[in-house]
Amino acid sequence: MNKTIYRVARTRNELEQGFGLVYSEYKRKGYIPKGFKSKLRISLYNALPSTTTFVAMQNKRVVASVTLIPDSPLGIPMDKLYKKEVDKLRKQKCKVAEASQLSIDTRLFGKGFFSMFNFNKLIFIFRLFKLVLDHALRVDGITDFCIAINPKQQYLYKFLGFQQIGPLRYYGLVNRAPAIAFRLNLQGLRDRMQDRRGAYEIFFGKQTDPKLFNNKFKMSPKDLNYFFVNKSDLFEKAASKQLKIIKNCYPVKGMDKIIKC
Amino acid sequence: MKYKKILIVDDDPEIFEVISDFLRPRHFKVYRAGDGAEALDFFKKTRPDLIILDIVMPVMDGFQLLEKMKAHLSYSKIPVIMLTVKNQGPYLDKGISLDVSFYLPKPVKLQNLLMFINLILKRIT
Repeated sequence: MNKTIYRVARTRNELEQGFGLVYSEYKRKGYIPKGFKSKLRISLYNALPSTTTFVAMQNKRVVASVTLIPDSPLGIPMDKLYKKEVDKLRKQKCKVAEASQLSIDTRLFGKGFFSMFNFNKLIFIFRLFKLVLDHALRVDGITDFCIAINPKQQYLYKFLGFQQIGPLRYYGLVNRAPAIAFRLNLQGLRDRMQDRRGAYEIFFGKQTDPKLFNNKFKMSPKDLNYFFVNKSDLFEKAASKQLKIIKNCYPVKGMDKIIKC
Repeated sequence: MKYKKILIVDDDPEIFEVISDFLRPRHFKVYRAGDGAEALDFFKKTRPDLIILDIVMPVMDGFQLLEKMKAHLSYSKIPVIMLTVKNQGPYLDKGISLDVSFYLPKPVKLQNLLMFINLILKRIT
């Protein structure tokens, strides 16, 4: 296998490759509705400066990506299905973040290869996840890591110490992607993992080099225009309240032309 | 390299033969117990560095052995790889709740198994 580099996305091109990968993998699984114009799978949360996209790269090609979305006035994506469950954590003063848009190029491991049983795939996913977890802990100060996943993947997340917080529900009216909600409490995780040697070695065997978090790509108004106006219709369709939240994150000239609210 | 001791707990002697033939030239001492009760007897003499454990066995099955190990301070920290045909959801849940290190289906690719073993025993980074 080619050498893989895991780090934050540092350029617009890497980000675009990541969004493109999410789109093609979602399309393959039938989660993209008919008439969806963009070839990129982006959400409004990607416009927030606090959102971080992580990539796995092989020969300058993004082969996997995942996005970490800390809670904000915009909430987190899984609020759409699990607001009650996430609000419960918020009431407990937990600082939540959601890992979203996880996607791996199927050419790497083939289709339908259950991650837990294949060493290379498991290690690949864990390395990406470890990066996200370390960023969540050390950079964002997150206490609770949330995720909405396909039920087929639940054992992998249980193995990693995640606990289910929400029942089976379905995203979207047409494509009805099934999901269940999980949470990983990061406080005391190391102690809780001690007895589970496999996951422990992967998560805590080696420290993540903090340089991998450096030079995160920050969107400029031009980039916002590119992704959310030219490449998608997200700003056009967003509610005025949502647009105001995003606009407030960019106190720079020229934003009125891009975000009209 | 120091030899690591691996106990294979499986009632099928062929599984033991295949895995031990593969592991022995790779600096492992490999032992066998035919079920959970035999494994508990084995612990009285030798503490393995790792256990490869089947679920369905006579006398005492894999999960019963894990429960006994969890209750016993000196055995509870021995890492366990489940190796079984029982890889459906409820079995996975049970294995995870009993803190198995990894859970692998039979038949397993030996090279794949070796990588999991090496990770647990810190032979690779």
